[in-house]
Amino acid sequence: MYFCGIDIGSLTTKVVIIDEEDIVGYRFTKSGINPRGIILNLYEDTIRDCGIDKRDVRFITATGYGRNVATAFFADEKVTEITCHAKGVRKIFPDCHTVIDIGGQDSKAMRLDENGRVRSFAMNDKCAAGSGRFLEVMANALGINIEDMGSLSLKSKNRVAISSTCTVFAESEVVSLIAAEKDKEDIIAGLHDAIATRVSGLAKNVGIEDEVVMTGGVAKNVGMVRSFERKIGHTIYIPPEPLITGALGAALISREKFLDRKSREL
Amino acid sequence: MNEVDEKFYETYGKKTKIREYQGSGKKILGSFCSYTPEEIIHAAGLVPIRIFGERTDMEEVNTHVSSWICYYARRCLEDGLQGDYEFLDGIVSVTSDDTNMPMYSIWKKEVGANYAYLVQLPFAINETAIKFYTKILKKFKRSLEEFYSVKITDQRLKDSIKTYNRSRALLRELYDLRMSMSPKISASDTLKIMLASYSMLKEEFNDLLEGYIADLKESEPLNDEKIRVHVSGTVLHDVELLEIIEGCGVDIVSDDLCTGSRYFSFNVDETYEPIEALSRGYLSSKTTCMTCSRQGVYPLDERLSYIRDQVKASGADGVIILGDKGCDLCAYGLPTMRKELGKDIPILYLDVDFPLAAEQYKTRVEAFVESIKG
Amino acid sequence: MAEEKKYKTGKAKKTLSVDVLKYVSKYYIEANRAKKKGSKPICYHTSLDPIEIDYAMGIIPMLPENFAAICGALQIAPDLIEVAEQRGCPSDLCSYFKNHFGYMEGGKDLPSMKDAFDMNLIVLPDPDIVCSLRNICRLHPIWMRQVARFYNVPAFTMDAPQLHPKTSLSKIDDHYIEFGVSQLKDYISFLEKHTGRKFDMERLSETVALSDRLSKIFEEIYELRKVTPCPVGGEDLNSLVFFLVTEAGSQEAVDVAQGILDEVKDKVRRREGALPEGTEEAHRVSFVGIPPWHDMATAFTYMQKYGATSVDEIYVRAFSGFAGRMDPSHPLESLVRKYFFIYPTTTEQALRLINIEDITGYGIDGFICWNLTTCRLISTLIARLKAMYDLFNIPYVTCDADQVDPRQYNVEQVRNRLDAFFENLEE
Repeated sequence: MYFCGIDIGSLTTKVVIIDEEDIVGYRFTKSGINPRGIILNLYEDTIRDCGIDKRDVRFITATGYGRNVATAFFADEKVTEITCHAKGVRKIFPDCHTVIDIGGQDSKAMRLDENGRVRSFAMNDKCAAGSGRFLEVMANALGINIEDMGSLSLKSKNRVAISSTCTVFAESEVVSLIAAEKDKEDIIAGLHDAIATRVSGLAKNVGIEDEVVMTGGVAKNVGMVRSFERKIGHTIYIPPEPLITGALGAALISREKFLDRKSREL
Repeated sequence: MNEVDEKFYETYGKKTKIREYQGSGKKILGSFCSYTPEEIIHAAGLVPIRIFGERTDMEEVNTHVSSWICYYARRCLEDGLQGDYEFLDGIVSVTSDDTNMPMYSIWKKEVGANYAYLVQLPFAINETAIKFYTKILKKFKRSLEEFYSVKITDQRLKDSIKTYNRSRALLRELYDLRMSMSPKISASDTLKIMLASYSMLKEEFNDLLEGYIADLKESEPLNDEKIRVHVSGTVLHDVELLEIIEGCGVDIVSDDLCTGSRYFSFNVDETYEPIEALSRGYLSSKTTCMTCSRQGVYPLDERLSYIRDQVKASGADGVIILGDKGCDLCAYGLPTMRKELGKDIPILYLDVDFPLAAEQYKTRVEAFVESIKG
Repeated sequence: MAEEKKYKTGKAKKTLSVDVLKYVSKYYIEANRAKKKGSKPICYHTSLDPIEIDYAMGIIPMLPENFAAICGALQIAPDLIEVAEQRGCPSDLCSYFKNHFGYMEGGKDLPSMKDAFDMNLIVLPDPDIVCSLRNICRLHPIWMRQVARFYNVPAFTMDAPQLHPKTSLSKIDDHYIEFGVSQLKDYISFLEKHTGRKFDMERLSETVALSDRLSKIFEEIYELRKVTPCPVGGEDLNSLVFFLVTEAGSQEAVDVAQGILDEVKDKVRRREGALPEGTEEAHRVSFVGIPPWHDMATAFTYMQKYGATSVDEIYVRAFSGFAGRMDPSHPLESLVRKYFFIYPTTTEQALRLINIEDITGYGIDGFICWNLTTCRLISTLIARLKAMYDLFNIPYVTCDADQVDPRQYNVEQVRNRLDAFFENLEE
């Protein structure tokens, strides 16, 4: 018996397949303008990776912004990514009480109770300063690869302060810092601090309690994680693949729903 | 089209009644705040209506006010500037918040009005303030009498007060049907009825609502097992937002909105001399008044106790706070409100701005529902 | 860890010899000493409250707004504001309030505040009572009640109703004055009850006389600023506001102000302007709005390269009262006139009149409007003023900034706008 979770985010779509115990396979790809095709291909590819029979996948749960699209033709159930992240993170870190997730468009913080339920959560407002997109815009302004930002920032000896909390203002601030011949490393470190300040505000809003886990694509940026730790004064744990915790949570929910349904049938 | 749309929403959306009144030569006055003493306008033989903005694309308004001003003011002004309120003969505003006051001036100058009046609402309420407000309302009455050459007799005032009291009683009855364990009406439909009440003469509205309530009592409840939620906020006239929330598996069973229970949760005592009765009535509104409060009381404490009572009565499972990014009055108490309410009930804060970020709202509300269901 | 100073904005160069910060710090130190000894009660106020009554009764008025302005100038406001935002205050909310709320809610113990403590400067003593007169904004009384709730102390609220646009300042209806006087009496009873101090009308006459003297000295300074070259610029006047805001009714403020007036007179005699030596006064501007305390250098010093000086600030003049002289033989009525009829409560016509007088009297070439991103009152006021400037074809520029929070401020953009404004004035 296998169960599937699919997380259709604004930038990336992720699929996770689990059996009754653990992850058997996962894949992710860029979300595009043809969600239906992307979802189906990604699913097929993951099934093939795992070498399992599609008929053995008993339940599919969709999450993320595309969850409604997916339930229309593919998934059995939809659940928000907030619940899914909590679920997925708890599977990997059973003592986690705070989750900070920075995705493409959104950043959010969740506080979990002893049983892993979401006690409270907060999300960013309209402004995207504090999301993956913000870093993308800034990497562009600096003319570097977004993947290199983390390691570059660790070389900073003189962190620059970015005071603006607005994407547009911050970009012009970065441009003037470049003009002032500041080191790239220092500017990047400053940008990480700016995001950490903003998003840790969300986290403090819901209340920070150990262990703190960070998920989402931005969690792969080690410089970003260090900035967060400095800002909130807690150690931050990162899942082996921080992109897929939402999809993992969805897969776990699939398993629960299926077993629940079966026990009711009995 | 359902019954509510046909009977009520059309009078707001298509201004059907307003056009009818105009055809018969009646003058229409628009207002911006639920503290407007509509009874006096009504007693002068005029039609008091409430101004709302329907457009979400802001084109004209940005030349006049900054983007961080509250959405209610910005949307009203946009519609005004676009000529949607040309049918108004005048406007009456109240000094209930810091945006209302300049809005009055800007509207007068940029949109224009034959008649314009700004009613001075006191802030700290005690007997001194009630006495002062009585004088202010008398001045307002005289101004209407002079401008429109009418005599507002005590009898006419008393009749209007009676009509408005009946209206408030009927709306409370409607809210009770929404609050019952199996709600008979949704919050979005209730809002449509509220909007109709702002767009027609109250005597006509009362008859219409009375008939509708009678039918509603006989009807089947909305058959669902949804999460019951109390909604807290200021002025909300956007049906779509409530529909989004309801679409996530939520029944909104009580509220403290300006365009909700705040509009009718007080009564005007008919035993006083009519103007004094209005002064006492409007200043007594205990509901949620964020702009006025009794001396020595933190307004938020009154509001919190009102919300707690509502939650208790409605058996709500959670509270959704709708925050207007541009409204300081809401924002001031927000941290305390979240902290205090959060002690006894799950809360969700949604910052509302237009155009609505529907997808993000859905995610938040659905996650909230999931966290309550567990 | 080598870290640069977080906010890089700067201080303006002053031209007067008075060290305002010294007086500010003395005021805070004395208030803290009184608090510690329990010798005088501390009453929190919002700005433009009738503090002459406090002075008459030996109560120390403290203004969290003034405190916020100092935090802004010292660049520590953003840290406090962040605390407030973590507690759930939205980013668009009044930053003066957030500064104080963050301070109450734990900001007091931040390392950056500890540095300020070491400087023996800005420690805001806890209040014994709070008061607020609703004459500037609706939020003032709510703010003070929240403070009262936090410290569990008594609160008093007064209300200055917005005047009807048709009323003129010279013809204010009696019931407005009566309403004001009866509230002041209620306030006095409140103070007597909660501080155990006796009120003495003669003593109030004295503090009202001192307050009037202070306002009069400031008015003389404003008059002298009409001279070319203007002897003293906005960078100085905006810091002198401290005396009007927190010391109206004290002898010290009068003495300091008298010294300043003498210095200004002297400068006029020597034809010495506010601009640095060698710079000719080419433009005279009027400054509208609360200044960005975190970047006074951009607000005032920057324009010097165009030979420009700010010769008039509505913000400053609002604090000396503009409803005429006070009469110490009628202290309560005088206080009502001074505090109940100010910019935000007065008429459109009054607003218009005052601004037109500015242009003719001060020889103003244009207006620099500081559109505050977290203050609805100033933003909407500026919206109305802009319409008026357009009507009379007067040059103006608007700069978006917050009064203490540099995080929502783009200094490059602001300087760019100022450049464009002055380039066009020069043509």
